[in-house]
Amino acid sequence: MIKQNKLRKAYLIYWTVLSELYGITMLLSVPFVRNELLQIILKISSLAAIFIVPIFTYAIYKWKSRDNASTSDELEQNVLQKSSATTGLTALSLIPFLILFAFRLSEFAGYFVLGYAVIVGGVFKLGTFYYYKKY
Amino acid sequence: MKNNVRSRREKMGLTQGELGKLTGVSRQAINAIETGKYDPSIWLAYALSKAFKCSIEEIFIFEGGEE
Repeated sequence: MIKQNKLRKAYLIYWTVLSELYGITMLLSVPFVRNELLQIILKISSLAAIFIVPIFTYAIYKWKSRDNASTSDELEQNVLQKSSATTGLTALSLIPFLILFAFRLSEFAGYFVLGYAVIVGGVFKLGTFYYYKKY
Repeated sequence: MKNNVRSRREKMGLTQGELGKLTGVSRQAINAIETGKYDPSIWLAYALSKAFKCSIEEIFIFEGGEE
């Protein structure tokens, strides 16, 4: 019998806290956005993230625990390693463009950082989904 | 690497979930091993050999192992 771990619960807490931080940061950035339509979009999406993400994350956690052992096994670790590697590669590859655009078009720097965060976060989520489906 | 996890599991009358519980991994992990999509670690291979009461070599066929 392979040793059990509490990694899945740790991931639940980590992702929830991180999502809340994302949401709060976006909400704090809203007053500095000049475009009114973008302000509304950012406000709604950040509030949605703050309230919906914890429920969504917990639902996924419960769903996984019901079907699997409550521990995070080596297949799950393998999936997370692969998606983390893909995300890391994407994040590092995009940094030169982020720096260039943030300095060259400094008045839009906030948007570039937001876009970068969305791309990197999206690659991780899609990567995880893809590798889960693969196995 | 080929394996006969599925035939051994079925011979024992276990479901993938039950074998997963016996070895401490998820049903998906057992399914991925059976379909050849995932090669288990030596720890999991050992846990499977314990569950099937046989050696690791009897479960997993190492292709190119004589090189």
